[in-house]
Amino acid sequence: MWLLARLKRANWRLIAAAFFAVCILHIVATLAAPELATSSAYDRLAQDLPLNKMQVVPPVAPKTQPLPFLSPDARYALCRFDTLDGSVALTANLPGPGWTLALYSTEGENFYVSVAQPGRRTEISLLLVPSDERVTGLTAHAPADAPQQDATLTVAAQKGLAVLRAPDQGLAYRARNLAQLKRARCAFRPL
Amino acid sequence: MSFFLHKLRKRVAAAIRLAADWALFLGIILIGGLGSSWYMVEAGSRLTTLNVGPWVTWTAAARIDADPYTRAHYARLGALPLSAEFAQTFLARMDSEGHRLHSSCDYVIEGHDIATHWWSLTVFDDKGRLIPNAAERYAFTSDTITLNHDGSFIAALARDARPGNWLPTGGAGRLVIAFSVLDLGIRAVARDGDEVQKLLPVIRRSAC
Repeated sequence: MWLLARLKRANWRLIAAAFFAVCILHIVATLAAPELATSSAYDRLAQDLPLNKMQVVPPVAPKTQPLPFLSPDARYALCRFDTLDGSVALTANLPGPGWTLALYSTEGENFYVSVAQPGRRTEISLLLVPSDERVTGLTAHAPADAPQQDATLTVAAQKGLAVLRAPDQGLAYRARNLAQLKRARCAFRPL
Repeated sequence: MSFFLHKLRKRVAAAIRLAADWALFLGIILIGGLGSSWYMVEAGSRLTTLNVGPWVTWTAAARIDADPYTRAHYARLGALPLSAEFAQTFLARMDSEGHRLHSSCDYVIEGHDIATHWWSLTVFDDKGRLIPNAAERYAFTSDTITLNHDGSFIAALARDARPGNWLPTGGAGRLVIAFSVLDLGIRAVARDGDEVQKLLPVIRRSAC
């Protein structure tokens, strides 16, 4: 009875205004969250990486873990690329299952992935080009399948990270996998 | 004199009531707007996550067409996952009976090898940090775990050494187990709850 009486007296216009204000604040807070993040994954990794150069990072361990929930189930080679003044050529070999080459934007979008197929060596050759009017007819939504051998795939991308991932296959394979990671190249080509 | 004092008191009381009403109004807006956003970004919902037993995964992680909640979740977390098109990372903060994972307990993780996928099993603390241990063991992969003859595996999570696939938990407190699955191109990563359930290991508390 008391609740019914209170509801009859309630100012429904005010309640509707509060509901809409809650919805607007919810949307604004959600959309602003990525901008307000103190340190994105790109920021954390990029600060120690040279520009347009592939670098094998130390094995992930408690003292060297650069990102939360980054597992030591793999070794990584990273390249911080920027195509502002030219293109970046990326070559890597994915010798077996678990190997991946992934391209990320600065916002953490994984816009290209190549995954090694069982029983097949996959040679990857990518040309990262600026995604503005200097290069037309290209899209950042590149096909994710591995390219044909010896074929260079052109991908439109401005700034981001290339991550080559070698799975941990045990002690016997670590030296071989490290050698494969070191063979990967990320080279700047002026326009 | 007392009449003026009485009138002044009534006016002050009315002003306080008005201010309290506005404070309540703004408080409800702030708590409702920010709180609901925080919940959707941190915990997710059925629109953004797939829950299978204790395992949770964000179904649009790192995708170009990811929804704003997923984008905000990973931006706040500072993680860099592979696109959910090819890989999925399932996180478990509870065991299969719904109890919070904690380093003061021992757990047994039972699962089956998946021939069509490369996978790994890693234990973290509550903030996603690896747990330091003298054995330098943090993860098992489908290549490094010891399988039984029928393709199943059993991993033990405990502070003290265990025979077989042991992952040390030290004194980390609350634990998070990550099970990452990488599609090898043979078939898409399963998205249906029942199908995924067959891939995911069971986490059983063995001692506490």
